[in-house]
Amino acid sequence: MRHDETLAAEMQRRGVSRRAFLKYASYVASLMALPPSAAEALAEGLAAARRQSVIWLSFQECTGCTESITRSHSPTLENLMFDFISLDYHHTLMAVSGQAAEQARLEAMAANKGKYIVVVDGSVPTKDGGVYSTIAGISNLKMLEETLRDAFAVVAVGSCACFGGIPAAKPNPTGAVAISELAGGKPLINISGCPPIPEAMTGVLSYVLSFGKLPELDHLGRPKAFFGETIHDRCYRRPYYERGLFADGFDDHGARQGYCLYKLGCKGPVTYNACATLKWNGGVSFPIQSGHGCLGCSEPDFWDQGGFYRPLPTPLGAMGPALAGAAVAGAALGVGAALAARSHQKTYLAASEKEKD
Amino acid sequence: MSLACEAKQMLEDDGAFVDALLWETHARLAHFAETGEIASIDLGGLPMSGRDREALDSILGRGEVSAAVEVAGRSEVWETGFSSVWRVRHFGDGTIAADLIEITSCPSILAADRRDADNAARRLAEALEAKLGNAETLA
Ligand code: SF4
Repeated sequence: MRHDETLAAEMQRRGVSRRAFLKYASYVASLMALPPSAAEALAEGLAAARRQSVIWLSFQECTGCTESITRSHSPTLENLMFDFISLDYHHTLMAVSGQAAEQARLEAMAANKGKYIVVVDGSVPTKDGGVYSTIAGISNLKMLEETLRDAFAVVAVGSCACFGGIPAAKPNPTGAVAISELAGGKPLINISGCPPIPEAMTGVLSYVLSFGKLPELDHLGRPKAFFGETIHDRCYRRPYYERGLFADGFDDHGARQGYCLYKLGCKGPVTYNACATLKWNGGVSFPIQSGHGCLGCSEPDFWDQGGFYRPLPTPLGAMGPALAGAAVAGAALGVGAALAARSHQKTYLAASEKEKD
Repeated sequence: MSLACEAKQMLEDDGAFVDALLWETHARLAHFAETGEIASIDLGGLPMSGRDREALDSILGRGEVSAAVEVAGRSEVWETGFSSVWRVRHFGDGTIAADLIEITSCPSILAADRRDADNAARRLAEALEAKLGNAETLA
């Protein structure tokens, strides 16, 4: 893989014009809610960049995150991301295995010292010296430490890498922890979700590649462009919520009418993610559209929050009438809704904590 | 009207939103006419239904120029019935990947970038040399 020429030169060699960068940049700017005027700067940044070396480490995970990023893309626009990066190590996807694979990782680290990005899916077991997950005889703990040493930044993809996820669910037998606990001060981006939305992964990598810096992050290290609003903020069933029209069962009248799924345990009001707007499978649908409440999979400890079908504890209507108008405008939903949802989330977490005690 | 009907109506009542978009387009167009400052409105993050898009496009109409760009999938570009107001729609995987209203003389996706010209000149020269070579072989 040639890392010395610019992406523009490489694409030109393959007969692709600069329009490809412009088009891709419009797509990313739109995804990340950047002003459309930023698209040209993004396109220029990408065209002038060199292929970004990426080392992808998979630890305690189910490979769902890799499935998400590799299988939901067409060989056209969205897939261009794979022309912009050089995936130098990914033990599930690479052809070689064993010693040769580990050699590729070490070579990429040496060749791109201080410049490569480490992507991690899965949590890291720390109990008993980290013996519960090893690759090529190396514990995840040691491999992460070794690989992060000369990295430019680390991107934790999926809720296991971001927050410990399912491996860290009670009773957490392996002492699984999030990457943030082991990142040792390296710039870190969390892209949570089980799995994360593929556009969030490609959007963030494109941003870093173009601008050489991290996008704006929330208090949990997640890019605000994708985690700035709750599912509830953008849910198309919201007018039913505001009117107090709920499904009480999965097969009752309310469910058939498409009423709000709050009483069936929907965690949309306390879950920050972009499923309601970007959706899944190329924009086809998302859980709520398919009739099931949000599980809250992009939030910390979602597995241990007291049951997927238990309604959120805050009394109904707490976020009610004041937001009714805004719910229709959707795009106009902003600070007010975010604050209301944030306080709702706090109440929810406090109630869950109380229950644990 | 029952609560359910009201809520359903809220889901469907989208005319005001399209109007707001059109007024924004008007403001930016007037500004472009006065100052030459280009603008673009990204429809991507907006909660627009298929009906909204149809309503928007039926008011904007079609103007003198329509083009298709084939790069990393298809893109469709057309000037609306209002000079300098363009619609740019990029497709990826068969679905709309980016959808914009651009207020400009010509959307940048249509213009060829001069930096690509170098490569094009080289390829054209190679094609001509190959043609010449073929002709000599035949002679
Ligand atoms: S509670 Fe769930 S289903 Fe109801 S409006 Fe909020 S996100 Fe949508």
